[in-house]
Amino acid sequence: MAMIEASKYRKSLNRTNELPLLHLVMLFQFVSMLLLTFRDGVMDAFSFQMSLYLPIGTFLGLKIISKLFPVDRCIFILTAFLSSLGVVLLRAVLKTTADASDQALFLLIGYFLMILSAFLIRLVRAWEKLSVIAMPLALGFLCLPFVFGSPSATADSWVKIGGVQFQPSELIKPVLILVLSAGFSRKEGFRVWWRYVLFAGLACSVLFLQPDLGAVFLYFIITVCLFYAGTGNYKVTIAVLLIAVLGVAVFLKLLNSIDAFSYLASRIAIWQNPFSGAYEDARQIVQGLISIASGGLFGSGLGLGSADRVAVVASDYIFAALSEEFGILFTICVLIVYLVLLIRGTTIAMNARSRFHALTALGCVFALTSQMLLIVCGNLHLIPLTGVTMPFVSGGGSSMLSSMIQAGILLGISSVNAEDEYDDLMRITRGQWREEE
Amino acid sequence: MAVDLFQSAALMLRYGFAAAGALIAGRALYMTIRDGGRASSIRAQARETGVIANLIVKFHGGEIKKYTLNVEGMVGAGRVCDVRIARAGLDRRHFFYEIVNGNMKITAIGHSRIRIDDTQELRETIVRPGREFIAGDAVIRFVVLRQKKAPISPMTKRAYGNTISLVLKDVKPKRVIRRRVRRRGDD
Amino acid sequence: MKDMRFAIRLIAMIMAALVLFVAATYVITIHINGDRWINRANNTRLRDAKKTTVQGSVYDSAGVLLAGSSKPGERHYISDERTRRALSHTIGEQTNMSATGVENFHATTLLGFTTTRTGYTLQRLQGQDPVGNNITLTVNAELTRYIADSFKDWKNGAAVVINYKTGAILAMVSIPNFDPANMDLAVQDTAYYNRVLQKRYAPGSTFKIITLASALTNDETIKEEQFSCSGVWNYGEYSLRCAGSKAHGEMSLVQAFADSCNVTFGSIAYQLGAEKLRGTAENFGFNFDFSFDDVIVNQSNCLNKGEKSTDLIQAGIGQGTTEVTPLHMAMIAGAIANGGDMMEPKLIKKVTNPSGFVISEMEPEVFLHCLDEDTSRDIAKYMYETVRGGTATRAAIKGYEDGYVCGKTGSAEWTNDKTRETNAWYVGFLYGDSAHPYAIAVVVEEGGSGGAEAAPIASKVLKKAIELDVY
Repeated sequence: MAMIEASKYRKSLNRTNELPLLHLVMLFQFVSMLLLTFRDGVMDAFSFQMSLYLPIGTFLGLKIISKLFPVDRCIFILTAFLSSLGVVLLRAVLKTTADASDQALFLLIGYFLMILSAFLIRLVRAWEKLSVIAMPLALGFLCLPFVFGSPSATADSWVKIGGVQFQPSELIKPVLILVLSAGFSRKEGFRVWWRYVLFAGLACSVLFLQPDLGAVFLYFIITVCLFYAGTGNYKVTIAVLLIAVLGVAVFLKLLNSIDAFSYLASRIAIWQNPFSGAYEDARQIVQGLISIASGGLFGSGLGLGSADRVAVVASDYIFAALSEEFGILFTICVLIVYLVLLIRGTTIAMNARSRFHALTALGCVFALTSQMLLIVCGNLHLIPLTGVTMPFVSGGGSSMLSSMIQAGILLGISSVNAEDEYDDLMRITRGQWREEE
Repeated sequence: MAVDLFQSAALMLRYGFAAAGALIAGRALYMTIRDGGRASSIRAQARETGVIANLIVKFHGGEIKKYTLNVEGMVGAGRVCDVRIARAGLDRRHFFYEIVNGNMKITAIGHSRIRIDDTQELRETIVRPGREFIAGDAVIRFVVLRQKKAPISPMTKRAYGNTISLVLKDVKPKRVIRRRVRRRGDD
Repeated sequence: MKDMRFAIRLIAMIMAALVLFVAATYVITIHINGDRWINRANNTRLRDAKKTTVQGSVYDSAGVLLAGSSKPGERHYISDERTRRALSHTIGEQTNMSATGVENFHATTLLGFTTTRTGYTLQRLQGQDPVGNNITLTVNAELTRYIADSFKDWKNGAAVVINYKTGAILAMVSIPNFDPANMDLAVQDTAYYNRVLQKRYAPGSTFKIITLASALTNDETIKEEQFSCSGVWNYGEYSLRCAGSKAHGEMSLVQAFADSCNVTFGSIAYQLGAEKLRGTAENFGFNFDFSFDDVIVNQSNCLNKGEKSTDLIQAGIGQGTTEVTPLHMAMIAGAIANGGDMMEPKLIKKVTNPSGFVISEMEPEVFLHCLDEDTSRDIAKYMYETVRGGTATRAAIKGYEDGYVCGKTGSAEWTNDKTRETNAWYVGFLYGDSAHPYAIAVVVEEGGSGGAEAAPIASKVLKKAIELDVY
């Protein structure tokens, strides 16, 4: 074992100081909500409270979680930034407070779930056995919309029980990631992982029938990603991808002849030519595009845009609202934030000591980034809108909670990595080993 | 009037927000690149991280070699393995191991097999520290290393399991890595 | 674990590349399409802005004020009603009925919506009503008025004159028109439609320019060939007739063009085949989704709908499923005159801010290289022969010596299942006169013969343009 300078090693373990980032985010939260307080001429209690709660919450949250576990603080701060951006946007765009306060509430619950997930993911032992039980339960949960169904505008996989509305496909996503990671991390080959593939396939089928095509796509690529990373079997991966592409092409060709999916055919026709003015539903896309273009470089000004004319702006078109109110420059910065999350998440996956953790981290990061790409491309009219939401920013309780859980998992694994590094440090600097027979 | 004031403020703040966004994104990128740099310098300085056990391999010709082990990994002759044992008759990816509770849990990959005492061919087995087993042409012994300081990582703790009390004097683990410098910027 | 490192890194790089790609696409899409989206009629933001902003003024190329505002929500136009009406489609109006008018398509400029909106911000801060930017157009109001007057009152149609060296639109008229100052008045059906930019007509014999171009580029010996026409050509169960079933007898290619022989050009199209003819048409901008900065122009179509061979013959003479906008036809004529280079149509000469500072000025851009110089010169010669002794003799300009008048007529048939009508077409240009590089396209709906109805209008209009010395 190489002898290296202890102090140099110790120094390398330090992270860049995250306080400037924290302060910037807190400042942003404060100023934006404070500005919105005065929008309607009368002081808005909710906004004013948020202008204090958000920064304080971020500050306390960081303190608490870093006292508990040595997590990656940058990720936490960026997650807080994106989530509060969501609250700000909802308040700015929608004229009523209702949605924004719901979002804030979910944000709070999300923080707790984040800490909980971070704690739970550190218990490595239990997951691999739990996954056997988790699979049928998850499938059952996904089937709920068939029973209690309550379709919303673009995705028909909502469930309404009592007064509470939630989306099982979002909530089950972390479960999917955990189960698949547990399955694909065991290096035994086909005889083991076929059941996990089956599980993923069944989940996709259930979602397909609901139908919630955005979720199907997400579940599918997450499975492919984890499969490839876990088994390294690129031949099968490429084969599966090719079959999927072919399948989609065939499906699209046959679309017009299947009645059940006629709405899809019209949806695609709308997507191909929304400006023709022939379709009422295309208004959404057109207004979204107008929104995006109206922002200009610096935006129209917080609270000054009229993004509320876009239907479903809360979840599907939040990106258009972001682009309009804050402008191109700021939106690019938000995209860079997602990129940073991707990079840090990947680093966490690479540094993980166990295959399970590595796959889980990769899965979470992959899911978050894919979701972001899907919705931005949908808003930009590059692909048809899929009903997927923008992680952390979009309104929607289930989406927010699911994203927070995924972030919590990332933080948890990062804390395990950090502790491993610390152990290494101790091992190396304290020097000696004793072999034991 | 108040509404006009709001409009003016909102218009002015557009530039502020754009600046804030740029600063946040910029700082986050800077932090990430810097941390990435540190990570690679660590890896450069100390190649062997997470070592908690040794594998002592006796080759057919009499040679003995020692390999270091992490909490879990893959053993075989191929380049992709974490522990690469060449010229010992092992398959490209022979077996996968996990160290739990001080013991080594071995799972053979594919068609490979592990032998114990030349009698049975096993797919999965648990090897206690100090014991030997046979893979390919080599006799392999598994040895656990003890540390002077208790590990804080749950992975390592699980690896030692209930044998951890045998480890050492200092049983109270540090929970948090203290930040070195708080005031002056970073580092 | 080492085996996973590679996969993780690969996946991460792919995702990172996608994120960067999306960010780039985002910026580029807004840059390209942003103005187009903002200026759409259903953008409520513009409607709201019009209530608080003083819109900029619109001038013609000679500096005449065509439209202006003295306070938010108020708009006044040129005082002469006939001129107003003639310019109505060019200028547009305040209620978003005419999508292609300057006041609609360039509303953001007139309202001062630049990308940074700093000027706007400063003005709001100072408590003033923001003032938009002023636009100077390339059109000439007097010429436009003259063109509108040249159409007989009971006929609909369109006419456009362009400068084929710079691409500037010098005058654009669509009839029926409306009065932007009195939008409450009842108007004729389709009055808000700008026939020059948006209406797709069958070009009729004017399309033979393209067929000729295709023949000259694909067949080297065709210039020397002789053609024979008996007035009728039977192919399968269809027959192709020349105008009035007149037999043209034996003639050269030049004569066939000048006399507009359908049989000749139908058979040329048939010999060329759909691929080559469509290829040449596409070199001239057919089947292309124009997205010019200054104007909206609808796409012209030629043989892109899976046509059969009978349609091919019809396409050769500009009938069947072929359709083209008058502006595009003028651009095609301009390309012939301009050595084979089609210039991008420009409507805005310059944009100035309220203090008079020039924000942007028109820069001529080549849109397509349609043809090589020699071939275009040949076609120009053919078109000159058409005016000298062919079907377009009434397009000649008496007393004009500085250049050659070249043109092509068309009598395009169309049917709406009830009646059979013929639109009169004339397409042409002045060749060799560098001070007056005009190309013109005229369509008179239900006008009958192009040579009799459209050509004389073109002659008068070009004469007036030379008189006014527009450029």
